Amino acid sequence: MYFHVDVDQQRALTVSRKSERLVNLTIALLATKRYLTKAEIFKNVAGYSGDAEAKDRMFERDKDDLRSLGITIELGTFDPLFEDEAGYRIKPESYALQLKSLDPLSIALLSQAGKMWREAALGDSAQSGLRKLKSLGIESDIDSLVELTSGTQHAPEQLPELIEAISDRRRVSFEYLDEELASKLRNVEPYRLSNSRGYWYLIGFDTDKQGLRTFRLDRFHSTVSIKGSANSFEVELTALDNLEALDGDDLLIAKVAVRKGKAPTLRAEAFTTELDIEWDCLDIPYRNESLLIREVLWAGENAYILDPVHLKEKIVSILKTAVAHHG
Amino acid sequence: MAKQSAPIQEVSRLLDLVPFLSTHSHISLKELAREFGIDEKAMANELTALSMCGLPGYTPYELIEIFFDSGFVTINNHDALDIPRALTTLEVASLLIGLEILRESASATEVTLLEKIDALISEMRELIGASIEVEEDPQSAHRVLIERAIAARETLDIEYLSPLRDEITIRKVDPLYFQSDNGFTYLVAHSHEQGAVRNFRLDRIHSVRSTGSQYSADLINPQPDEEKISLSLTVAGSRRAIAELFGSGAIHPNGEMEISVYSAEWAKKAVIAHSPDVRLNEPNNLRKEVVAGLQNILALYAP
Repeated sequence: MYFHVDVDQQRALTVSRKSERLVNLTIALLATKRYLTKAEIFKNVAGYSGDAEAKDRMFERDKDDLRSLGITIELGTFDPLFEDEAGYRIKPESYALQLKSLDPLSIALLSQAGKMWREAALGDSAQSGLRKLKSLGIESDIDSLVELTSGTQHAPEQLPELIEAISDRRRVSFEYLDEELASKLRNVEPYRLSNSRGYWYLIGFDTDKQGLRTFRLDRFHSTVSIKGSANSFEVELTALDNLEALDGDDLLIAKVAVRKGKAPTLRAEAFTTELDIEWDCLDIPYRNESLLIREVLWAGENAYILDPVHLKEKIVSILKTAVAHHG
Repeated sequence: MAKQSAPIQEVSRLLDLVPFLSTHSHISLKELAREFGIDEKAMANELTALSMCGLPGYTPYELIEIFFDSGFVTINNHDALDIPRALTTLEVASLLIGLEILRESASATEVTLLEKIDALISEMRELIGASIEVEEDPQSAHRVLIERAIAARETLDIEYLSPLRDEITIRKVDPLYFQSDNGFTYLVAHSHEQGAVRNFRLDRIHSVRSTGSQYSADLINPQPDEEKISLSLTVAGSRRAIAELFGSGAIHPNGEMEISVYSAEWAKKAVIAHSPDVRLNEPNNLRKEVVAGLQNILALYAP
């Protein structure tokens, strides 16, 4: 079947449809070798109607809409002697797919990378990205590639908003569960997302607490709201390099006695010397007393704190309280 | 990101349809609709819309031509739009993160493959201003190895952090399948040592090594014979840590929590480690064991 629609009817339909006007505008601005003035656009591109002011408003909205699709309309002059004759065009090199020199193996890898997200928050983006790659018409070399991973990835639902906010440097706010599971509003300049041991973390500058903080995405209790305009902060790179000291506490050393061959978790970061035939002495670096006490208690009867004395007193008091609770 | 309005999404599809059709001549309407994630009727409408777009002038010579040939779609006269569009930030990010995860799952011996992945990763990193990192995740690397062994019915040696013995031990296991419970992933496997099917929590598996020998699945009853134990707890503080520990956020406002676990021994250790923020109420015999455990630790501090 061929679409037999006469030209007048086509024009009538086209005028009424915004999406067709946007496509026609894109085609006109891409195909032109020189900048098109607004007057030329209104005269030649299908879909602009009404008085001058209405057309102007329409065109401004269209530019914003195309920008939201990642299409940049360039403003310039084709004749430097007539600067008032500014015009518009879309540079094919800014419109076109950025990835160069893709071969069948890279296409196969990218398509495996994209398929991981099938059901997850980034699935639609991966899908549309893969579609653009497929449009290159490069045959994917699936045969030479074993399936590297069969699992689908679980992306937290907040991931897309956070990626865009980091990329645009926009402030965000979200509800976050504190240590007692109470939901608190946090205002953050997002710096970095990282995935470690199955969890996603956001690192950013908390504008209320005036310091760098790390947030685990599964502790978010709301969607992410974008606040304010793009490029509204600078990333403090030096602070990011020293994330270990995030909570501001100094690094201290505790001496812990550990039964030989036991408590592998405590031993992981410790310097070990022998105490006697039954026990080792571990120098364990720590920043947070409560977390260290918890780690030592996990080891049960296989570990006890030797030093500092106040930690030893604290753990003894915790144990006595717990015995009383369970009595 | 504000969700894009329907006409904007349509523009996005229309622009992507042109280069896609030009490299997929005679694609069926059905397949095309599925590729773009819309139904066939909507796709037919969008193709009609596309046939009304073109270069200024909009005579048949300037319009994009769409042909249906017994259910198969072909495009003509589309030169101006015949370039795949630039990837958006989110498209780059989703593929980039996927590649980083692939990189972690690829074996270190596949050198050419790793070089290829690295080249793609660095090219894509330059495209977005966003800083996104995927660190090495031993869990997913182990999972890949174990999945291959399940498929091949191969016996594995795993290094396992035993929560009961508080030791890393090497176990010979016949891996059967994965299951999730309370937010944790478990490998269900036949343990040679115990001669029975056991659950191994994936995050406690420290290494996976192939033995090269196959097992016969017929001899194994694939149901683990461990029964779950119901616990009743009262949480007084550090609610988030305790909810995450037991893999459940279901703590009542008054602090009561009901949960079931595979190992009573692990539950006892967990309750002791989170003293004095959590109290075990039921079962009664386990509560007594908690008290005994606490007193044994206290004895270590007695002069």
